[in-house]
Amino acid sequence: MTELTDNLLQLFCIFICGGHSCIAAVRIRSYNRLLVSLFYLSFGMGLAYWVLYLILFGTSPLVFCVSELSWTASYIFLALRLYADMPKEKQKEKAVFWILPVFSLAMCIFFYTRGSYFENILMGTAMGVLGYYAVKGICLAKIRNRSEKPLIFYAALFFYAAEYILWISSYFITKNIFVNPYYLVDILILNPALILIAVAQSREEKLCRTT
Amino acid sequence: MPYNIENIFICLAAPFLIAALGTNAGNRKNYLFIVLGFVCCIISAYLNTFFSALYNAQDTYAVLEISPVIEETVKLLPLLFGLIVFELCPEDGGNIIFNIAVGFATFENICYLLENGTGNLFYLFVRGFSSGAMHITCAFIIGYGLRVFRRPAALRAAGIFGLLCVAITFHATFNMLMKTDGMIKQLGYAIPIVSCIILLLLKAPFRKLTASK
Repeated sequence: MTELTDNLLQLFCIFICGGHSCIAAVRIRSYNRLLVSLFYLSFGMGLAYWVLYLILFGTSPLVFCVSELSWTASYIFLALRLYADMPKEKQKEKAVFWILPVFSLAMCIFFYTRGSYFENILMGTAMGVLGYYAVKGICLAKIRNRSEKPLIFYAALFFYAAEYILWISSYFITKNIFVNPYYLVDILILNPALILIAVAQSREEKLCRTT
Repeated sequence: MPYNIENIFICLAAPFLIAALGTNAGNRKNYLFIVLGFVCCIISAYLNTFFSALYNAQDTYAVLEISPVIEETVKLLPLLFGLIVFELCPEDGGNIIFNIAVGFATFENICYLLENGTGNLFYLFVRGFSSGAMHITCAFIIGYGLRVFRRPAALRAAGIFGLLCVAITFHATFNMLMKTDGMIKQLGYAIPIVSCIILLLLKAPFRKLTASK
């Protein structure tokens, strides 16, 4: 029941943010908005599959987790959204860009002890790419002294951190009670991170229109 | 009723292959890719059996967690081959994936009819439209993706993989709803048709959006 409540709340958040992004993408014909909509769509579909499975079969998927494929797709779409804002001229690579991909690799090896190799590699790679572009975008904005903050990169970084905190918290405590850190992180950190991405995208579009 | 899918394939593919010989280039491509859809369905059936045995998955779990992954991936392989080897434009890629989806859905429906009989017309009507619409919706997802993710190649590969994952989840959700009874099952029948209509309505705005990119 606790897991279901948590997931339904998250599904509601995604439905609102995704619906708003989708309408905005069609109205203002924004490619970046389309990518954010795809992010919400794939995240929401993964979550919907998980919730339906829980409701109809009373357990989580046993053989192969289709939801994880959908969540991996959402990380890819968010990374593609960040990539769309990258300067097209060649940039000098810095060691700091690789901090999060290395962290993702370490976490991937850590999570091998539980879960399948295939799913860990997929999710670890997608998260590594997402982290790489988030840090790169923030660093390049600082180097270029942009007056406005690159909010979408900060939002993606927050989302990246929220996901890892969530996975780590679920690793150690598996009890199905409301005070389980997993549910607290899911409700209090991941949901705001999901909302923040839509807010950051809206703000960037507003700035683009005013400048 | 026991049946042999290879024999069904030969029977179904023969008219298409003969017609392909005597028609113009545009139609020939369509016929060949529909036959390729039949082939994809057979390969999926083999792979489903293999992986179900490998993971020791029971019937329900195989339908929910293994077959969507295999079927959507196998359907995408001919398109990937075309994109890599012939560098197809998005319009051609869209046509290919649609023809493959149509061939796949047709062959799957025929196998279903042989297994379950043709007694209940209303049920077959609803089932035929919804499972057909499900495969077409998955083709829509990939077809739209080809327009969004064009260049560079890495971006295109990542985008298509992402959309493949979305198509797999959609397919798996449909299969899950089909495994239930009552109201939820009826809702499951409606979902692919509604999704197909929504995607058709979004076609024009989507074309403008990708053209403005």
